[in-house]
Parts: sequence; structure tokens; C-alpha cells
Amino acid sequence: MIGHHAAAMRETRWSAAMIAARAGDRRTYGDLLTAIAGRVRRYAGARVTRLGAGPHEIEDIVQDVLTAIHAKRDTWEPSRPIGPWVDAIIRYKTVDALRRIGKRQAMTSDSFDLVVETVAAPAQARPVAATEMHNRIATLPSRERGVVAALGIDGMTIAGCAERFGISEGAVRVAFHRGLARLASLAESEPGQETAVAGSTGPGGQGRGR
Amino acid sequence: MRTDDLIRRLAADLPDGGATSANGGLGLGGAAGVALVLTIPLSLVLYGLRVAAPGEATLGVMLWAAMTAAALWATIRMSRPEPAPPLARFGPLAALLVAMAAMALMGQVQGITAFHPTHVMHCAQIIGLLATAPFLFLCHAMRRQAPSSPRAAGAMIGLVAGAIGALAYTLSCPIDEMIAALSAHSLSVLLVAMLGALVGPSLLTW
Repeated sequence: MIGHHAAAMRETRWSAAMIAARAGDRRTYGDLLTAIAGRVRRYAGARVTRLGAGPHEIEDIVQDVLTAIHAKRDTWEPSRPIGPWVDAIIRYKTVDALRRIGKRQAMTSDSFDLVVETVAAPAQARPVAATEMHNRIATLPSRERGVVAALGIDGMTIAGCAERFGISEGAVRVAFHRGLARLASLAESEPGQETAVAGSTGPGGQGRGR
Repeated sequence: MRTDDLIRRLAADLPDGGATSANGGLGLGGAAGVALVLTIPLSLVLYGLRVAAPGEATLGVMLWAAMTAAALWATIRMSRPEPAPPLARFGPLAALLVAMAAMALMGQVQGITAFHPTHVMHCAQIIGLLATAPFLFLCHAMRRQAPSSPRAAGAMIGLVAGAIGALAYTLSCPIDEMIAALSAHSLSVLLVAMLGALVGPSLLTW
């Protein structure tokens, strides 16, 4: 009962605020966006944290939602309730972000395993492939080379790597992914060398198809 | 950028006199109207007017006009962030599939090949060509909106564009048997809708 009452109050408040915003009231619009930001943090926070993402990702979603609400504010019709409209945008942007985070994590963990299996494989097990891989890493552009070596060989974390190179964690992931893509294309261009990147890990090991 | 700063910037970005409300229905309806007005004369110029069976052409025009209207209504319902009702999401497509099944059945009863490959190839190329401009107009109008499912919205835009193309080409199509013509047109429209579903996420994601 109290929940319904609060929702009805919010509906009235937000509708009035959006109508005022459409009339050019910037202060009310700012207050409305602040209130919506709080709602996004609660909704997205619960979902994103489960994926192991941090407060930065939640804040990214908040900003995505606010930007979308601003860009698409004309798609709200004053004759309709504003709550479902706002919630639909929050849901759309959160799902989008969850997909992005999930894909990035899958990519990072796959890529990380791949490098660990190939680059840091015991030298006795695959001496030639490891040397080959080091040579190939040496051909990468400097940032990608540094990131691939730091994550794959030195065993650094993404956060540590970001600190070492003075770049964001996102940039570390991008450089890592690009580096791996270059290594893969190098391997493809050299017949008979696929295993160096595709990664059979030793006696009886199965190649990890990409 | 901090969220508080973003909020300040967005608030400052509000126009002085308030926003100009862009009505999604008007935008999409207008795009469909313009597309219709351009596509029919284009088809007549390119393929001529069929005069052999005016009754059949009238039936085709009525069918595709109804499909255009239904799919346009569904497109407008899908242009808002709130989830569209199931009738809008699936109604027009289901109606098209039912009509295709009915034509296949009627063709079997009458001993006519409803989906003749040559007819389908011929009509699919022309209807696909005629549907291109309507598809682009509608996508342009939809990009100002906020569909919660870009793929479904793309499919529905494809359905509207295909129906407009079929409506225009019905006046020119040389296929004699009504069932063969309608079934070939239906399949062509379905193909355009599938293409719309394919490119929808790339074009309509916001």
C-alpha cells in the first residue's frame, strides 16, 4: 500500500518535472535527472555487481541512461505515465551494459587463458612455440606488446597493468584484445604455426579453438 | 566525467523555450505517406499499369493497403521505449504468415503452384527494389525514436516497406493467377521483413 502510494507520488512529481523541463525549467530538469540517477544506481547496481563489475561500470550505466533520457525525452508523451517510460530506458541501457560487460569478461578470461596456455607454457613442453610466441609479441606495437606481456607473462592484474602504463582499465582490455587479434592473424599467415596461438598445452592437450 | 557534472551539462543543454516535441507517430506516418506517394508512381513508370485483371489488382491493393496500415500501426507502437503489446509485436507478421498458408492451401486445392520459384524470384527483386526507399525513410524516422527492441522494430519497418512495395507493384505485376501473384508478393514482403530484422540492430540501436 505504502509502495503504491510512493510510486504514485513519484509519478506525479516526475511527470510535473518533465513537463516543466519541456517548458525550459533547467533547475527542475536537473533535479529530475538526479532522482533518476538514484533509481538507476539501485536497479543497475544490483545486477552489475553480480557480474563482478565495479562502481565505475555502474556509474557508466547511470550516465548512459541520463544521456539517453535527455536525447529521447521527446518520446515521452505527457498523456502517458512517466515511470514505465523511465524504467524501460533504464532496462534497455542496463541490458546493453550487461551484455557488454559479459562479453568483455568472457573475452578477457578466454584471452587470458589463451595467453597463459601458449606464452607462459612450460618451456620444456613447448620450447619452440614459446620462443616463436615471444618473437611475435615483440612485433606488436608498443602499448599492445607491453599489455600482452604484462598480463600474459608477468601475470599482472588489469588494474595493475592500467597503473603501470597510466591508462584506463578499459584501454588495457582493448590493447590486450587487439594484441591477441594481431597474434592470431600472424599465426594464420604462417602455415603450420597455428598451434602457437591456438594453444595446445602439452602432451595430450586439446587445442583451444577460437 | 562525474555524473553531477553530466547532469549540469544536460540541464544546461535544455533549449530556452523548452523542447520541441517530436511526435513519433507523425514522423513515421509521414515517412510512410511520402514513401507511398513516391513508390506508386515509380512502379508505374518503371513497370507500367496492368489492365488485364483489374479485379485481382484491386484485391491485391486492398490486401497490401491493409498490411501497410497494420504494420505501420505496429511500428508506431514499437517506436517508444515501453514494450509494445503482443498484438503489435506479432500481429501483422502472424497475419502475413496465415495469409501465405491460406494461399498455399488454396493453390493446392485449385491445382496451382502458389510459390512458383520463377515468380518469387521475379517479384522479390522488384518488390525489394521498390521497398528500398520506404525502408530508408522509415528507418530515418525511427532513429529519432527509442524502440526497446531494434530487431523487432527493424522487422516491422521491413514489413511496412515491403507492403508498400507490394502495393505499388500489384498495379503492374504481369502474373495472371491471383494466388501465384499474391503468394509471390507475400514471400517477397516476408523477405524484406527478415532483412529488416537483420539490419535493425545496426541501424536502430540508440
